[in-house]
Amino acid sequence: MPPALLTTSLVNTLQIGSLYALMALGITLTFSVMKLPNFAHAEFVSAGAYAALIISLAGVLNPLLIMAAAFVIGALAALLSHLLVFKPLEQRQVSFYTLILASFAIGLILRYLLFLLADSFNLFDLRIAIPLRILFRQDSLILSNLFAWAVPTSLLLVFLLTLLLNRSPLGREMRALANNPSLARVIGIPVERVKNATWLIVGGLAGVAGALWGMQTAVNPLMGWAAIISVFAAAILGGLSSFSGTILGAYVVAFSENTIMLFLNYSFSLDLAYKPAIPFIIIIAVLLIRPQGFSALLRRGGDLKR
Amino acid sequence: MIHLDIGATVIAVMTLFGIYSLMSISLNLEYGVAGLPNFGQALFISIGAYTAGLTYTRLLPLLAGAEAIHPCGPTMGQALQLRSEIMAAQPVAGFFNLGATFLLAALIAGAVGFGVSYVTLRLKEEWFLALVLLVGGETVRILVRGADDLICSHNGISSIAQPFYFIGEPRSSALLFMLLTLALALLAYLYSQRLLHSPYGRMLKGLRENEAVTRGLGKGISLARAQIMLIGSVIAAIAGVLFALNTGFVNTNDYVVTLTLDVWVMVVLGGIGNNRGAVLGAAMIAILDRATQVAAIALNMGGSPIEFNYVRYIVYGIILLLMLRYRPQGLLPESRLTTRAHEMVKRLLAQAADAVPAATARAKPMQPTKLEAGAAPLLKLTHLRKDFGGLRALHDVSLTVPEGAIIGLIGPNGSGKSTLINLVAGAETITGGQVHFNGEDISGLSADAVFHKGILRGYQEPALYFKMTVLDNLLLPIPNQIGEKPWRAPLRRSWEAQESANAEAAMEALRQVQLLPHYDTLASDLSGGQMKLLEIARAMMGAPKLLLLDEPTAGVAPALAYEIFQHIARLRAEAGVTFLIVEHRLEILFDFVDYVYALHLGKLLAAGDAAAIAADATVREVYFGD
Repeated sequence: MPPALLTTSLVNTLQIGSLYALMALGITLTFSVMKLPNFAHAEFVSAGAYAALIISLAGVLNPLLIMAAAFVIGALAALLSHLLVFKPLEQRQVSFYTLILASFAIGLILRYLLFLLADSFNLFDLRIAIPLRILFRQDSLILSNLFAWAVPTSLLLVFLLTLLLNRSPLGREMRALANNPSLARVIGIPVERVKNATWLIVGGLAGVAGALWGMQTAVNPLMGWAAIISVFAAAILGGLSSFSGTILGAYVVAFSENTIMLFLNYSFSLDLAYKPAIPFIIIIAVLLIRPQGFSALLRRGGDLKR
Repeated sequence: MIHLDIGATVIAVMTLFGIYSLMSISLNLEYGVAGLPNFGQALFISIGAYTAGLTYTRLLPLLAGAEAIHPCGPTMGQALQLRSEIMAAQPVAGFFNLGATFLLAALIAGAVGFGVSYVTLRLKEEWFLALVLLVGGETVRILVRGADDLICSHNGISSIAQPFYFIGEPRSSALLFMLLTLALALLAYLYSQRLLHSPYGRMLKGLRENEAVTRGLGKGISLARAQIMLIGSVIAAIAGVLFALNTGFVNTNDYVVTLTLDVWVMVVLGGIGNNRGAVLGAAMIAILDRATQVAAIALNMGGSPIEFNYVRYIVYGIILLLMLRYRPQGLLPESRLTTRAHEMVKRLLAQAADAVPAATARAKPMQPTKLEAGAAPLLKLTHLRKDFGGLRALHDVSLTVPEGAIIGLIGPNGSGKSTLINLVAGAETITGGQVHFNGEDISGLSADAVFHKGILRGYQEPALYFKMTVLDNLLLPIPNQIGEKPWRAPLRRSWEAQESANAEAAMEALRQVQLLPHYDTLASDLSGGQMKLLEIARAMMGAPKLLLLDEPTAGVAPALAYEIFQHIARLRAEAGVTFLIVEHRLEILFDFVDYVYALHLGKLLAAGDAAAIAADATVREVYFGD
């Protein structure tokens, strides 16, 4: 594989891996704290992307403000899902599959609300309107100002979230809830407040991920769903419980989808159309061979159940 | 205004209803009855549809004696022309092709359903099946779309003619196709109803309700679940074939997650676990689908810019959420499963009532007896050890249970008694040491294998099938039931005689614990003491050599507690069962046991007969704090 191609693919890995990490951490967090594999997470991402798109079309071009809007909408979508759907269901102690099904239903509703919105105002496949500037160019490798926004922001947010979880009182309460919900309640942790905060953070980060994603490619109502399988693969690599494992998993998935896929394409002329099979293979392999993922490997590094 | 052809609309809705019924019956068998979360229903439906796409383009010309033309690309038009000519002129080739399509689709889908679930359901967590099927379905769809030559990628294959196209008159051929669809749906309905009332259905419901207990009662659960996934997948694939024939084309965009969700809406709406509910849900969605189509056309013609298809999904999502929250049992809740055995018992009871006035059939409680000396060891534990992470729950415990004995296992909470029971029963893995049963090393066997060696266990909390009747609770553990094989289950004649004999045995067991009048009651409606009795009676139906009981009198009034032990003594005397009993009520236990082992902090503290243990200073210290 020529070095230029390799460099490009590695840059892609970094870029996409950071976004995957941002989304997958949300999946891991909801699974640990809320005991819920939330498939509506995909639509929090899309909702955030649309919030970013609309505010940028309205003339707000500051990336920070755009991301703030995406955060707010993502967080609101998540909190409303919790208050209107998940919380009442949990109080009735419904089965695990009912919760999964409910998350599907929320995703479905959000996705097609976005479709309606996009359809009414012709907002399909638009890019968030931040002007593009090329910062660096060599061969096929192009680094734009958006790259300079996306990667550091994702990394910073991942870092802040890790810090929050490990160092703040809220993080400690979240970990307590992840570890033993009934005990957490007994020792006086305000469970409902912690859950609300968790949903806000999870949805907000998903929204920001959507905004960053939309800056680099384009916004459409299916964008979140298109990424959800890769994102779940990353979270499963993290054992659905480990923070650092999830981050590592996100880069592993992005690396497989970009660098390895390109390598297979270049060396063995494997069709790039097989790329969607990669996260599937990762999920199956992890579940069969090592269902705990990287979590046991990185026990000290931020496992939520430690 | 749009003109609405009532006849055509009715035919279209009824056809859709037939296809949807197949889909929802399939999911209801998998999720409603067996509790398996199939979030990849679209995958199995698409297998049927893709198969139809392939056979109608590749196989049909061969069957008709024509040369196959590649269905995609520049020759697409020609291939399409050829297909319609064959379907119009050579109905025999058309029907052979249809038969081959059904067969092939069923084989592929069945193999996938069986294989995926057999592997996945052995994994750590059950919901991985949901994830694997969901992700697998999406992945297959994307890959098929990428494979240009297979079904012509995005465009798909169009003009897959309905099998009755040769008639030449659209209304009649549509009517015949509707009848075919409804007939297949009816067949699937009758088949699944029969499954539900058979011993196989009973076992599946048992699996859904309590996996651990069912495993402990000797059922090979991975196999049973993979079997029901096979059956469900075959029905879904047949629905997929009909779906492709009905729409007339195969396009990967039809088989997305939303289709899976449509089927879930049908089942949740109609009633989970109830076949009638599944059919009702299918009917409602078929009508809603058609209504939204009509509404969409009307709205668009009226100049409304709203894409109504989006509204449809939003409405379905809201229906799903409202049902889950306000009526989770569905419009038609699951009826109580009454297997055939109930009718048999009812008849026998009626006969008995006619013949002689019911004698007081209550078994005579047995007074404590003692084991004769010199019995051979039945269960032997050598240096049994169990670690949980860094915590050692059992330290090299060695003990022997002689055949025909009643052995007590005592110790304060946390001393490792329940762990010991779990290790022997195969419910947890052994860290070190061996378990010998009847001279055979059984350490490390799975729970169902341990059952088949002759060991059965009870639980501290009564672990009954609460949503099943008392009678079904008793019948489930009986090993080697013919009707538990899914291919025998629909053939009632093949298992009826055995079921009848089993029902009589169950009646006898119920009579002895005085639960016979309650044979038709749900286990959840029994009193605490009755539950304990039922659990012991149920264990006896598994014909164990050794019964492990974990606090059989916990939470039971003193008089009943004594009666429970009298039953234990009777079973030892009459059926030769050996008992290892964990118990806190020492005053009762000591009346009945031959020998007692006392555990403390995972170590064997003392052993001896009841009098010796009662007098043992160390035991008194840890137990009573003397």
